[in-house]
Formats: sequence, structure tokens, C-alpha cells
Amino acid sequence: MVRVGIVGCGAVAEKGHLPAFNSISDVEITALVDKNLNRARELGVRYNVPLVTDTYSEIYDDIDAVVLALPHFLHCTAAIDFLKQKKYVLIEKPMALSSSECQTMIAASEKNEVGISVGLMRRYLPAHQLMKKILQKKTYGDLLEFRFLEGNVYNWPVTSDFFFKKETAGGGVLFDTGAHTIDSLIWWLGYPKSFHYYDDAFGGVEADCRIEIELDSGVSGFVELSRTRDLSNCAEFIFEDAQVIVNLRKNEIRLSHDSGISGIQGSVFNEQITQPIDIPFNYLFVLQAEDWISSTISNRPSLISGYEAMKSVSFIEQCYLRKGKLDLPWMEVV
Amino acid sequence: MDIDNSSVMITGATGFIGSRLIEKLVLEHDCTVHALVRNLSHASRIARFNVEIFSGDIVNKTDVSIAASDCDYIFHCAYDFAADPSKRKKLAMKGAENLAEVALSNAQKIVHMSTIDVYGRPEAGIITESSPRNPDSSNIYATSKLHAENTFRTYSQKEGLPVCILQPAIVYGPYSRPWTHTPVHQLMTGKVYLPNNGKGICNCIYIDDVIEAMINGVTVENCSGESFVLSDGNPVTWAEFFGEYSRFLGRDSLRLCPPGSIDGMTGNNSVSNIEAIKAVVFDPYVQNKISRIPLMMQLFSFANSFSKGNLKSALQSNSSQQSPPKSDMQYYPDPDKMKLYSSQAVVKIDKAKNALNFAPRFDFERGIKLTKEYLEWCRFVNS
Repeated sequence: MVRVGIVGCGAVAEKGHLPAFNSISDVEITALVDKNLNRARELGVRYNVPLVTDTYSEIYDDIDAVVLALPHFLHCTAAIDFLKQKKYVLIEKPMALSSSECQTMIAASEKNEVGISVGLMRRYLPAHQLMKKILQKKTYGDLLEFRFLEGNVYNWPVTSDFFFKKETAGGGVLFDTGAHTIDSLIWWLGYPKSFHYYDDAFGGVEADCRIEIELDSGVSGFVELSRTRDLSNCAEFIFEDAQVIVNLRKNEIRLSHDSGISGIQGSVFNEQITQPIDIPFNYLFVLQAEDWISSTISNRPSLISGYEAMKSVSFIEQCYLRKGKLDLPWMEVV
Repeated sequence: MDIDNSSVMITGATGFIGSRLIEKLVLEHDCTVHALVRNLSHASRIARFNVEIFSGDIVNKTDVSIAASDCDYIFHCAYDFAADPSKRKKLAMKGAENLAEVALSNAQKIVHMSTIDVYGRPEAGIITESSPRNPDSSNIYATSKLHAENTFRTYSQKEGLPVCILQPAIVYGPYSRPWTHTPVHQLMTGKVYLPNNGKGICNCIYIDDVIEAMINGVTVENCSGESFVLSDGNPVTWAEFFGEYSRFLGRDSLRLCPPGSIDGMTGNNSVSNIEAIKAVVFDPYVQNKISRIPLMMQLFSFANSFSKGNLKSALQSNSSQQSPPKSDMQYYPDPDKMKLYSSQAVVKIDKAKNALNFAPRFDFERGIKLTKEYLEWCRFVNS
């Protein structure tokens, strides 16, 4: 039995982690921590958690592994504290505010010989795994161009304003949603050779951004992320022989062949998953929890290690360093 | 007097008008902004700026007082569309009272955003500030705004509160939910029916002109206690207004109907209930919104697991094409819109021109051009 603590009882803990860990075997949720003790108590009662506190150092003896669902700026410090206690750490994305923080966390993980995993759970989507194979095996010939569009009019039930402050959130849509999108992009296409980055922030955090990218192969494409627009939430790949569109958030993929004869779309199955998963949000937390717990038991790396997660943090960091002004064509003066 | 480098407090700061006001105050006037925000989830657009966000509600006087401290001016744009309709009038009045008292105690000028709807829906003639204010009692928005106006007017007359009341007509432009997003969505997903052959008068005003009037409301002398109707001064017909969106979308979805021909037609009553429900439920826009309700997410998941069959192939074949957006909705005007779209009444902005130095910069041609650029950026059409 693995004893799991959850530090940070915001929306993601309530909607994702708690139901996920509650649903899998070999796990007991033994501790909840939140600076808002009432909030922690409320969830503690709901999930029958024995230890509830507002101070995470009080739970070291009661857990084997910890989920950190904290404001982004606290990720590094909290992760290192738990790693020093030789506790396995699953940390919400983005891994940390900077690549140097990520490196410090990875070093602490190696020194203490306990793994650190990051909640970039889209990699568990079978459709995303299939997309990676299509790209690796050049199933439809060479890639010619690509574009990633992800965004919704922002409506996540935030319970504090940390999300909208650069100091606490690290950034806006690129840092938050983009942690997933950029992870998918780098996982599928490799680290970009060059890029141009544009956003709409003026002293605050960006709500919209665009990244124009060139890959090592010379193929170019772009990414648009938004908190103000309802975009397709798909990555589109134009290959020599086909167009493949993969939903960035769901287990859905669509293929149009150049011959114009056939096209297919639907859910992807693999050995582990034999039922369609069209709304993956809760289920992905389960897949992530299972992989993480089995990796801690068998002491193997989970699918998304700290090293893997650091790549997107580094890229995002580079974007902010080389920021240009996003063209908002209707804005006359700026 | 100008507003440059001032400190301002804004209610309704995350809304369509409040957000654009903040953009212009920060980018063009170097203002310090205090934003009073009821729902932090909606703060994305204003969090782009270094504004101070105060979590709170206008019906709580302490919230108002804290947010307004150290400010020179107050812009009151808040209106709670989510509140229980039976309570909105009271909430609007309570908010106005709190703002008036805080502004009085801090000697702050205040602009109250009201609406042309307080004058009801006259069939013809002109609408000016001296037109009778008699909105239909069923128009909760108009009656709530009128009650708020009256509260401010009382404070102005009795206590000398420096308040300027603005009554804009049809405000369109980037991010306008009622007059840009909704028409576009309707034209994309069905047929939009206009009465009176579309010849009713649309007294429109581009968002940026409203913002200019708001800024003038605190900077121009001698407009305290006054109200001003606002439009761009060059009305178009409703056929022209909707027609621009329709052309932009490249869709033949606007229906101009002779007088009397669509009276009594409401909602989607020309299709069966099942068809109407299907059209709504399978509309991607609606699905997107509904799917944010946790229970609905589970239901969709459940429903989808039935509809997709159970083929154990790597890829499950369904159809060869992405289904096009549903376009079988029938959008008839409700009784209030029927009056609005049939009206020949013209808003006269002479008072605003003279006393508020209001000089609209965007006629419809220019305003809609910028709006289309915004819509393209939103990827409403594949560009």
C-alpha cells in the first residue's frame, strides 16, 4: 500500500487527483495540506483522510509519496523539501518557474534517489501516443507543415488570483495551458531549431500568444494559445500523403488522405484501454496516478520524468526572453 | 483636464466595456487601474496589464470602498447578468448606492454606464435625453439600469454627487457578446429573421467611441448630474448591420421578412422539438459551453461511449469528414427584439456632442472593418 499525501487543495486536487487516487488500488490517501485549513478539512471529510493540516512538514512521517498541486512559484521549494525526505513527488505542471529551478529539482531527485514526475498527463492519451508513432515512422511521408491551436474563453474555477500574477503564476496562457501544448509539441516534433514568440501582455500575464517555429528538418509551423478565444484545440499536421488532426485535449484523431477517398476519425485504443475515452479529463488523472504509483513501487521512471518536463519549461522560458508584440489587428493605438 | 496618469476604479472590469476601457486607460493614458472583480475566472483579458485586481462585489460597500481608495475617478460598468432576475433591480440599486456613497466620501467623479433601453422601444421619432423613460417592465436589464440611474440622480441632486450617466445604444465591436458574437454565432448556425424587411433603424456605436465618451464623462467640466444618449450619429438599418456579418461569413443566412410575416414566431418553433434540441445539443459552441458543467461531461462521456460502437482497431472509423457546423436553427426575434428591429426611432446625440465634447470617430464602415479583423483573428472563418 502506497501512502499518498496531497499538498494544495485547489480545483485540480478536488476535480482530478482526489477522485483518481481514491479510485485505484494499492493507494491510501493519508494526508491533505492546504493553507486554507477549512478547505482541506472539507475535502478530508469527503475522502476520509486521516491527517489534515496547513503545514506540509507535518505529513512527512505519514506518507510515501506526495502530489504537489500548489501555486507555480511554490513548486521548486516544496518538491525539494519532500525529495530530501525521500518521498516520491508528482508535481502539477508546469514543473517550475524556470529551467534552473527544474535542474535543482532533478539534482535533488537524483541525490536522494527518489523519482520526480510531472503532471503532463496528455502523454497518456492513446491518440497522442499514436500521433508520436505516425511522426516517428513517417507513416504518411514527410511532414510538410503543422499548426497547434489551443484555447477557450477562460473559465477555470480559480479560487485565488495567483493565476493572474506574473510573480506567482510565472506567466499566462503560455505558461499554463502552454505547459501541455509545448510538451506535446516537443514530444512529437523535437526541440525547435528556431522560433519567434509574440504575446499580448503589457506588464501582466498574456491571454493570447503565437509562436512561429522552425524544426531541425526545416519544416515550419505555428502555435496559437488563447484565454479569450474558442479555438479548435487541435494540432494539425500536413504530411506528403495525408492530413492528420489530433485533438490536444481528448483521445481523438482524424485523418484525411490525399487521395480524397478515405478519411477516418475516432478514438484510439491500445492494450491498456479498450473503451472509448472521449472526455478524458478525469480518466487521465487515473492513468497518471496508476503509472506514477506503479513506477514508485517498481522504482522505474514514470512516463513523464522531471527531465522530460524540463524541456517545455526551458522552451517557454526562451519564449518570454524573446517576446515580441502580438498583432491585434483591431487595436488602433498601442 | 485630461485623464492621463490618473488612478481609476472600475466595476464590471472584466466585461466587454470594462476590459476595453482598461486597455485604453493603461495603453493610451498611463492610468493606474483598480479593478473590482466578482469572478476571477473572467479576468484573463485585464490580467494582461499591471492592474490591481480587487476580488469583491458592488453590493458590499466595504469591497467598493477598499477598491476605490486612492482613486481619482470611478467607472461603474458592473451588471450581474447571472443574478436571479427577481433580485437584479435591488442589486443594481444597492450597488449604485454603495458606489455613490463611496464616491461622495472620497470626492470622486463617477461615470455610470446605463443603456438606451431605459427609454423603452419607441416605434419611431427621435430618442433624446428628454424622451420619456419607460422601459417595458419585462425588460429586467432596462428597468434595473433605470433604477440605478435614479439612485445616482438622487445622490446628485441631494448630495451633489458628480456623476455622469451614459446611455449607449447598440454597442458592437471586438468582444461584444450581444452585438458581435451572438449575431455571428446565429448566422453561422442557422437563419436569422428580421422583421420589417430589415429596414428598422440600428443606432449602433463602436466600442471605442463609448470609451471616449466615458473618459470625457470624468474629464469634461459641467456634465455632472447629466445623462447622455450615445450612438455614432449615423444609424444604419438592421439589414445592413446583420448583412455585414453575413457577408463576412460568406453565408446566405439572413432573412428579411415583410411586416407582419413573422409576428408571433418565436425561437425555433418552425422545427420539431426533437430537431430543435438536437440542433442545440450538437452545436459545437453549445457543447463546448455545456461540457464545462461537470455532470454534463460525464453524461457526454456516457452518451459517446454508446454512439461510437466498439471496434477494437487502432483507429475507429466513423465518417470521412468532419461534420460541418449545424445550420438548421431558426432565429426569430423575441417580442422585445421584434420591437427593437422594427423601430424607426433615431438616437440624437446633439447633447453629447455639445456638452460632453463627444465626437464619434468610427462610423459603421470603419467600426465593422475593425470588428471583422477581430473576428478573423478569432478564427470564426478559416483565414
